[in-house]
Amino acid sequence: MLFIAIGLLSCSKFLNDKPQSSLTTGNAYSTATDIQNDLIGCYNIFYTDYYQWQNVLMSDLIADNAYLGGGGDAGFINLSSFNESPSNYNMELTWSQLYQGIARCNLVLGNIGAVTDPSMTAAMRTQITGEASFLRALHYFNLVKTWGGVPIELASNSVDPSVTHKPRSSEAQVYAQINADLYIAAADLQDSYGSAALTTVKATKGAANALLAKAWAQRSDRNYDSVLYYCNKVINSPAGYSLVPNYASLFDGSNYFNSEAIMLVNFIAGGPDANWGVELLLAPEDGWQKYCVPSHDLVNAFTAAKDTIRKNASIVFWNVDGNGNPIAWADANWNPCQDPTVSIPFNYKQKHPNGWSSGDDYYILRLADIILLRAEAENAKGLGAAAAADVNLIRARVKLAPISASLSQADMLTAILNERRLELAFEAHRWDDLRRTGQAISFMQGLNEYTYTCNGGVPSAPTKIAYNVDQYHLLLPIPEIEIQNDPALIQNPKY
Amino acid sequence: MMGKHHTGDFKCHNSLHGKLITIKLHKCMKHFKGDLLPDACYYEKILRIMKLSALFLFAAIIQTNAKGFSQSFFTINKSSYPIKKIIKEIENQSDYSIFYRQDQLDVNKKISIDVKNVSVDSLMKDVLAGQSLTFKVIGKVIVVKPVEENISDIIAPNEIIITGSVHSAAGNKSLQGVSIIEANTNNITITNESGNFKIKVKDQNAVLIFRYVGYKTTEVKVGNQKSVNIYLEEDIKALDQVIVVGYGTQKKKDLTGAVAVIGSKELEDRPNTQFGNSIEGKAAGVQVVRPSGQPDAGFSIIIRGVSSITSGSDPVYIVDGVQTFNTSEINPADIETISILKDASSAAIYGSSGANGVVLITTKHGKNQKTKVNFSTSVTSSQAWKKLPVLNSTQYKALMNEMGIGINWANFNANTNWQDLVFRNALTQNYNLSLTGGDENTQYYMSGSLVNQEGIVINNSVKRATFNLSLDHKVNNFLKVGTNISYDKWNDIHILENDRNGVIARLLTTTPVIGIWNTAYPNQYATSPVAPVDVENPVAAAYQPQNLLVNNRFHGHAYAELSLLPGLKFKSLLGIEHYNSIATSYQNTVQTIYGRAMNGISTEDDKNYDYWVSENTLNYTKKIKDHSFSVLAGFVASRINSREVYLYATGFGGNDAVQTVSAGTVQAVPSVNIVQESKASFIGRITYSFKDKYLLTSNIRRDGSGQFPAQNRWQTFPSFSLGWRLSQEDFMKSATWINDLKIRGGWGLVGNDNANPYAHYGLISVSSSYAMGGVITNGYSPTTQENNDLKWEVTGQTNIGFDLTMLNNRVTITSDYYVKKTTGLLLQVPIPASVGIPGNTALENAGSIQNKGFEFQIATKNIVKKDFEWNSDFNFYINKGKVLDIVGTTIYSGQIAPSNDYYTAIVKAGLPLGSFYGKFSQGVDPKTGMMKFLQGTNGDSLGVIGHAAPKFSYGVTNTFRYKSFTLGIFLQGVEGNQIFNATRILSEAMSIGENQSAAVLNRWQKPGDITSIPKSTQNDLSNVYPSSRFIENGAYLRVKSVTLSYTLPQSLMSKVKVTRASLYVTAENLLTFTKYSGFDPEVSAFSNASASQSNSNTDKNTAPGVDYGTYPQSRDIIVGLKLTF
Repeated sequence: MLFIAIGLLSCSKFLNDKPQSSLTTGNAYSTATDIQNDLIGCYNIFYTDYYQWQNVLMSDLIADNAYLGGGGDAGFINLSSFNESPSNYNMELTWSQLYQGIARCNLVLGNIGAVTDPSMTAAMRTQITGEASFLRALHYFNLVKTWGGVPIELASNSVDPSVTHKPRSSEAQVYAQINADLYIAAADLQDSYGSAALTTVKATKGAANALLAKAWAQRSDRNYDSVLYYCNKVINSPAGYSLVPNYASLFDGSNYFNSEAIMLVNFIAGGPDANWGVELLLAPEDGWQKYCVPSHDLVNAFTAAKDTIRKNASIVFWNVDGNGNPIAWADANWNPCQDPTVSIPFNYKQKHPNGWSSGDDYYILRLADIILLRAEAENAKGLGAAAAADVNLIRARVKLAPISASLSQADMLTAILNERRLELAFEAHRWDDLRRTGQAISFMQGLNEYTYTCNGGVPSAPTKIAYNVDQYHLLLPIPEIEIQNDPALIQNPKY
Repeated sequence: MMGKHHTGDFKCHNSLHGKLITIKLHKCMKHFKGDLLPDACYYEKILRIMKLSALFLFAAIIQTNAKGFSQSFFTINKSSYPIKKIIKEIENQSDYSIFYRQDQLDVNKKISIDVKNVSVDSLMKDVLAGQSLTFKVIGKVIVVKPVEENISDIIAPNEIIITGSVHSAAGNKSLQGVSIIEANTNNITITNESGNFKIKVKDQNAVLIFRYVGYKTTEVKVGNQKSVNIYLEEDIKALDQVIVVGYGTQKKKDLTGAVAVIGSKELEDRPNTQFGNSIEGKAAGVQVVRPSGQPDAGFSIIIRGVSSITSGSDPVYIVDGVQTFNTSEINPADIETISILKDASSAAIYGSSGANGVVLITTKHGKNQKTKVNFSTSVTSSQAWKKLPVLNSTQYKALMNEMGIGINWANFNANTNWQDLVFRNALTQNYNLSLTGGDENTQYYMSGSLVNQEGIVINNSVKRATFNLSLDHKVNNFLKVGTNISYDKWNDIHILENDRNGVIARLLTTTPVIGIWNTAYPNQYATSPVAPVDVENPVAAAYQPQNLLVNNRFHGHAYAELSLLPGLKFKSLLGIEHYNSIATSYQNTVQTIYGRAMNGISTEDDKNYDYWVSENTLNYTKKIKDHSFSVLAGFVASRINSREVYLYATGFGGNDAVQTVSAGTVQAVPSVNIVQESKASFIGRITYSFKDKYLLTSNIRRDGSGQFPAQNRWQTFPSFSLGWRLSQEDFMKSATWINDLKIRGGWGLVGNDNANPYAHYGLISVSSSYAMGGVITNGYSPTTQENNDLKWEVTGQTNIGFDLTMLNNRVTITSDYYVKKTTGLLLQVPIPASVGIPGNTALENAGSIQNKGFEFQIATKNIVKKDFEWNSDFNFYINKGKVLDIVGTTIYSGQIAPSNDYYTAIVKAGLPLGSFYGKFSQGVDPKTGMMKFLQGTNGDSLGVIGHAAPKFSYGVTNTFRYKSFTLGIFLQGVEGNQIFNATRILSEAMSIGENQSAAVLNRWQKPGDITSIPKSTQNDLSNVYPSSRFIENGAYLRVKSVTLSYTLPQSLMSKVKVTRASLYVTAENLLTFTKYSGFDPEVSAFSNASASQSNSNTDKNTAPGVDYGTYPQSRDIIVGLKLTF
């Protein structure tokens, strides 16, 4: 035994324990295949909370499209009632996951230059650089519009406090970084990749241009010339984007790889790449109340617009759950005493929760969004007729009467905003739209929304919901824990 | 060893000559003190013999390298040398003691002798040549006697045959190997395995002397008695107790470190299914944490405070020299002793991972005796000792209506108290059977046990079967081999606790208006009619999912021990532990909401690990005049290879007949995790003592761990300790009330490499796939940050203490003071999330923690009478821990629902671990009914609201024996600690449609109400944000165990061939004195480390004392029987 042991030790490798079920930084960025897999890992961040469901809450729920519903999660209760706390775990999660997405891109971009594998062609290098740059820009865009100027991390390879304790950059600096990445992406990426399935899923030139348009629109020093410029690049792209004729088919679960999708998050039902977010947004399947109940205001907006096509594609009214049992909860806004004859609306943009394992996709960038964004830019530039024409493109598809080309600029903006609301409900745009157009506070304060309680089966008188929105609520507080771990950060005002 | 042919019964050696002669002293050791007989030194010699033979038994058990027992060959070259000196020489060269009478052996006779490597037989023949004497070797004793000229056949007319038995007074155990000497003769016998003896004495005036190591010598005058039954009292002086230390043993008197010993007495005193119970409250400085009352929860031990934040804080458990990673599977009935190495100087020999202390478990081994069969069985009935008041259905409905979520209650007329349905009278059966025996060369111990234990919550149970075999064999004079194998099988059904949706929390929060089953769908469990409607009732939670664990553990070793030269031994040991566990769960497709939604959920978690260790030690002991020393040098290498496979599937198509993962239609990607951890060490130890007065122990260990990058792999851990036995000094001789006094002091370093596997690598996961256009495509993503500077965490500890035995050995005191400082903590340092590493931490050597403490232990023999005895043990300890530095960061831990930002504990420089965190409650505002919190600059102030660490902990044991009855009462308690009753955050929230504690009947209802309970607030949790409102006094005094046992009379037993039989009844947790309002004050919701390692370690180390739907300890009544054949 002694000799065995000494034999083992004399072999200096005895203590050299090496991971067998993981790669390491030493061997995960070496070959062309490695880098391709690392890039897939960048896309994999789309399977975390922000891109699966929290983005909907952080937009449609904060704004006027939805009530929280159930779940009882204090983080979202606070989010929906403008009582946001820096210690909100859900927001901390979003912050962390977006930066994890950035880190994955940083590591690809930081390591690709050193790959000497001859099978790494120049074309591959360009393509991968473009995709990683696009994804990094997308995450920074989601960060900056939520929190304002955030720290810019472009390496993610150190734990040295003198490196990692970064101060916040200004909003303009973050947008400059986003633009820099997107310029690279737009230059490096292709218009399409042979099949619609790949073109809609991978980053493309069209996606980079679309994000450039959205970024120029969303920043506080917005530039509608640039918005117009990049929207046109998308709309006139050689990729040949076009609105699909049937709005409902966009969300029926079987037509995601379509001509209107510029980029989407792709899922496959029943496996590791499935979408569990649908179950959290469409409650009834498994019989407990979850998040994001369409508001009276949204339902009324559809009704007022006589927009049955988009209403039916976006909202469903049910009084039974997925098993055919009566819905087992009271809804404080729609059915306070749990009357089994009353139907409650649900977010129906994705229709197949499939037991937390959905194959339904989410659109990140969709042509209708860009067309309406162009309308907004045209209107801002005084091109009312062009704006109306764009809006009417969207309306015609859903069999709605055209709007007049002679609306005032303000009315046109209202019309565009309403159109966006109905077209893009529950696609995580509403709060951005309201903030971008400076209408967030007035819209929220003008809402007439009510809750009800129930006493022994008798509904109470309505209680009006007070939305105490202030200017500072337009940015969320930086997560408390992040401020503790990065003392160089300064909190947003009033938090 | 020679003398093989002398085994078997030690027959009486009568001597007719004896009655005429007075024995003279052959040698008198002057340090020997105590209640000696007039012929003290003569008997002292015997006592020494007996000690040695007892030591020999011990040695067989522990394969110690104490003094060279197997020395058997003599080399003596003397001419014209007195026999006296030759005898001395023989004794010096070996462990033989030579026993003779001066009137028979002319010790001054000069003889010449020149032998080389001869056996004792041959040597003694030479020595006694020419004298009409012969000798007999009995174990290690050589008895010189006249050549038996048929004298054994001659019986003097007045000779009497006395029979009898010898038992221990305490515990009433029969004692084997007690020597019985007829005074003033060399007539001697020993008791057999049943404690019985038979001796012929000269007449009625004969006096019998009973001698047994560790017991007081007792004299009995024969008189008219034909039968003498003796109860020997334990000799309180336990200085010669042999204590298992790292890679060897030491006598208690020689110890210079802080070692707590749990002996078989403590183990027998608490007839339990897990050995943690036997340690609890018995050893100062050793905290046994039972995280839960679930039978499968096991226990964890904290020695001298937690000295880690994000790494493991459990001690190393070594069973018979081989580390084990599973303590629950060990059958306590198989344990002989447990040594707990508390300070650095004793633990340093286990340098790596010894930072948290070392628990050495020695299992029972065979003895040189006729086969002895032990059978024991017990039946336990367990109940919840406390139920908590909750709202009944009328009160509940009123609250719901008040909160505005009161539906039409017409169809909900039940009034269910869930505690009545879920807590049960649980039954446990325990069976143990062991055989032990052997001869001089081969000894064995084998045992089997079965435990079938129910938890006090329905469906919760454990079944355990163990098998243990140990075999020691002396091949020849220089080679000894042995093996020990144990195999355990364990099955349990686990229930979810420490969770908002766990069974215990749901007992309090499930609406009383429903029954177990849904009235409309009788195959579905009923759920609440008001939100949250998705949470199952506690009966459902206990059965769905069904969590099964089956594990198999094989632990064993084989060793060979070579005696190379006198005092020099080489030992090589190969140990292994193989462990395989399969945890499965299945939630069926019908009964629960989630099960229906997923159409059945099946999981399987298969863990396999193989551990091997090779230990090779060389040990040399030598005594030269007043100098005794021993040297140990060795080499140890070990490796763990583990593999875990996790499978998950849903979609079972409505047929619950097949529940394996493969039957699911929706399969998750299996996760496979392979880990290899290697260690290698060079160890060394020197012990030295001068005149038994000045003692020194020094360890050095050089450790290599594969956990660290190549340049930081090796680290040296030294330790030194000194002891001074003041009582041996002349100036102390006058203090006769002191029997022994030793001052000890030591310092040492120990290391810790207990981080996540492959800690220094930047790990990249290979399972980050993406549906690239409808096709699952492989992807990589980073999971940890690389750290090539990672190195050993080092704990330095200074210990000073004393051991005092006084008042005629009736009082024994041990006390220690220590300062323990861990630096270069293996800490998951929080880093900004903007770095983008999952978990937002990076493992670094950062920060330091200090623990200081005081320990005091006293054992007294209050009354020692033949029929009545009263002994007490008391221990008491204080540990003060403090985080000195964690590189300026703050760690929050112990996260609880209902909100993800609810933490219960904070870790920050300057604070002790276990600092509760939250808002400072200032009562209920009589105007608004809302809680008022102390205001800071930025809204509600947040800070430290309480401490989990007790100011002190104590344990008291009193044992009373009256004749054959023994009553043991064990009390244990903690003082000055607090409990974070986070269960109340759920049961007093009044924010959703859950049932609540009856405390909310006092809620604020209208302006002006003065109360401590705020108003109900639908969907508003601000009143139950973690705050000082939920901090409660956690002090308790618990009557942990009361045992009454009765040993059946020998006379009755001998008729049925039973050597010993005893019956006992034990009550565990009989009474609990506490102000704590929850189910049980022994809580630690986060001590059940199960989830991902780093997170659970952090919670376990930093958020103790949190009650969050934690399974309470039960009150047990145990009735048992023990039989020895």
